[in-house]
Amino acid sequence: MEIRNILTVIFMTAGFISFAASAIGVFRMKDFYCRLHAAGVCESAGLVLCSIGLLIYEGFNITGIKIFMVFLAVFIASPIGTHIIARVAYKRHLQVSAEKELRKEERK
Amino acid sequence: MKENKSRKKLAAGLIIVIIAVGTAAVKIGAFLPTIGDADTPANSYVANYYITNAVKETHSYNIVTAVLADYRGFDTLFETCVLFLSALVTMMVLFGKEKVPKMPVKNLAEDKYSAAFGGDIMDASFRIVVPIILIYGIYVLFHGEISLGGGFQAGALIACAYLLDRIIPSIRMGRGKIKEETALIIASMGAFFYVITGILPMFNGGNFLEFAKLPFGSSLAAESIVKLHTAGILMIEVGVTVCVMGVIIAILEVVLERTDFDE
Amino acid sequence: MPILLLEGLLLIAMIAIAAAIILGKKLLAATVIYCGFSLIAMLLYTVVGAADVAFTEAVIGTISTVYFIIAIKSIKGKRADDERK
Repeated sequence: MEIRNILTVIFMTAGFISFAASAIGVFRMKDFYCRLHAAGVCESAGLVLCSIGLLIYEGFNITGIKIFMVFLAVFIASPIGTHIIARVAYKRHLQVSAEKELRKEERK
Repeated sequence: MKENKSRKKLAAGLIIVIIAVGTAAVKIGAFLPTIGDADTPANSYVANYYITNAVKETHSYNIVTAVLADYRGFDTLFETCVLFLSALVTMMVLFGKEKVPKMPVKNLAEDKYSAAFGGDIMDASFRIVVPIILIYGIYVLFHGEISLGGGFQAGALIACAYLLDRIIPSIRMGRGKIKEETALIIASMGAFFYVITGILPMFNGGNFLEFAKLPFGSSLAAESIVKLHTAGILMIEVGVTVCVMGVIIAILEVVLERTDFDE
Repeated sequence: MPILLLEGLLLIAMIAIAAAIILGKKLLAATVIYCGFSLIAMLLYTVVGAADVAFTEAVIGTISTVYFIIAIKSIKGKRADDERK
């Protein structure tokens, strides 16, 4: 059991746990913005951990540089998508559900 | 209540159909030969010839591209024509509908924060992403013989970059638009280039689409013939790329000109 | 008849996504899930070894989903992305 294999397994497991947390968060959250936050942030974090694990396994040859390029491309493009979804929802006046409950209580 | 009942009936019927079709497929598939088997006639004669001879004869390490563009180039010609036909028919169906006038660019620039999405972050980030997509598209076109890729993927990627520019409302909106008639002309020029590559060997004494007799090299040595094959494949892929790009842009413009939504 | 575990899981996911598309309540959400169907098909093509087809499916899947969404958004009158019977 080399140290390289152990470190790879640790990082990949952490990455898979992060992806699973993102999937569970999308199902269980009640508010739209909370769901969006769970999906966007946890997926970027999982991507970072999985990429570090793969880079440790491959080393510094041509495959490692390709992995780094793929990670860079997805890391730049994925938060752009999350920003678009949040901005469209904000412009269409989608309420945060805590606000709705607060306004209901004020009216009572 | 009635809606719920009809939905439940639909779901039950769907499950029965899935199980029935699945069982029938498994039973019928059990006595057909497996896919990778080396005994079937398709795998032992034709595929064997391709695997042993394709790299030597066409100097392309991607056997899929060699088969698509060199051994079966005639089929690829008609695939390209069918794509062009689909764009033509979409234009014909939607031709009678009148166009919807869009907001002029000056008005949009004054209140740039009132678009449905847009703004500073989108402008800055799309300027990073679009050149990467374009360069990757041309890379895929020229490396179709060595790694994955080819004409269809490259054309779709280049049209993807244009699509991104057209959908995002920003300050530049309305400039650099490609009209639908121009896109259709571009598509037809791609298919025309393909046919020209087929007709050129006929001036030199060969058949239609026979790359060994293209009128470019001057000697009949074996290596020169291999280079002529490579040149023929490249010309075909360029034709297919231009045609696919024109088709995707034409269908997009035809629909976007005639609708009105703030997205 | 040999079938790998990975292929079996992907096929079951494909059936589940197809059922979700047909039995879904909102039309616009079903269109976005169609993109997920295209993704699972691409993974299947990669597992059986056809790399060119997988690449083409990835590119065409995104363009086709954009076309569908544009077409649904341009229907006027009764709002097409409401619940459907």
